[in-house]
Amino acid sequence: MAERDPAADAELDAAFSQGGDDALRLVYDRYGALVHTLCRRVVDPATSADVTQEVFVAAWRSRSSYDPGRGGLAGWLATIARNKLTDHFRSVGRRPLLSVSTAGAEGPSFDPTLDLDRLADRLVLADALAQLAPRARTVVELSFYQGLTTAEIAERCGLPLGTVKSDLRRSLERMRHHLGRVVGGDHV
Amino acid sequence: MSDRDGFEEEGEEVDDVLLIELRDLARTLGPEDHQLVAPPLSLWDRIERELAVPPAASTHGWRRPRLLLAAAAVLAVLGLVGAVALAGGDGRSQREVQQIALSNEGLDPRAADASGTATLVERDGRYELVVDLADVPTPTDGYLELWLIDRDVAGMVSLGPYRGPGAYVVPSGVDPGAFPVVDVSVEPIDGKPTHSGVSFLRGVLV
Repeated sequence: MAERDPAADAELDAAFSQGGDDALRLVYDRYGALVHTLCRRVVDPATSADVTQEVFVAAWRSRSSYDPGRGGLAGWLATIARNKLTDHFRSVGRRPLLSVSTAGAEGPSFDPTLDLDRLADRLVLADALAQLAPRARTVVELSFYQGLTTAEIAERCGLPLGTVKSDLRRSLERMRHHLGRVVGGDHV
Repeated sequence: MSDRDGFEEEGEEVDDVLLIELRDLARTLGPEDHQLVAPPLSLWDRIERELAVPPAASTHGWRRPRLLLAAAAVLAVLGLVGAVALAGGDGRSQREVQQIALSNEGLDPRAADASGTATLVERDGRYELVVDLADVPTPTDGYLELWLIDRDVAGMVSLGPYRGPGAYVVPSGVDPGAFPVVDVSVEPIDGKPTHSGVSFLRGVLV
């Protein structure tokens, strides 16, 4: 996925909340695949298209309730998608078929929300990781997947410690904002 | 490599709780989570069409000129009947072309409280006008009739007496784009097939 200017998403969030011309089209171009992928992971292609359509129509009609200060559009759209998918599963009376098993999915009660939450979080986080600038992404990956401390990352990459810390700190904050709903409290 | 954010905040510590929460989530990511499936190419058109149709409840912002004034206004704005929405689902080919609000503004004050909607639908290659009126007084000396009127107010097509909410067939061969004014008239029982000139509700398809 192509790297983006980190400010672009924030500008898009603001433009959408203000209902600007072409804002929905730009949001759809940016997040259509994310929403559609979330749907495709749990429902068939035709239903995925229908639900994706519902998500963007609902998002546009309720754009005044979107507050860019509380989180990015990715998390907000994912929340709408989650709700639409939950409605869908309730209406057809079955649970989603997840391709990746998650704890708690085996119980007899019908509760797709936990699984959908988890799936939505993963996809939104993957999107957030893909948006990081190359240096910041390297720092984050060394921290996440190799468990290195900021001092170790600084040494490994030959970067000043302060740069590593600020890269990591701001990347984490950006990811938290992108997810919006999940991390650091329920935002919706 | 340049710092894309343009500033450094050295010395600030990393939020460990946030780090652990995001790290644990990131470690559950599989290759499939990085693979996006683009929506069908036609989906944006579907979204745009759905949003192009005003909600049924909308009765604001629509100009309802008097019949003669309507001619100029309609001339100014009339293009093709453009807004299109898929509304099928029962297996039949059905296309909602446009929904408009009907208003009494500037018309006969006996129907001042009346309102309504008219939805132009293309079904199996034919047009229907789905009309739903509310709070229309029952004429004591006549009946309500539905019309499509042209942009020059020179020609009009009757869709027949209003019998209640429902679909009214547009005669085949009649292009709704050429008769964009939807009109609800009060017709005296005088045996004359022409428009009485007294209207309760009106709206314009554009």
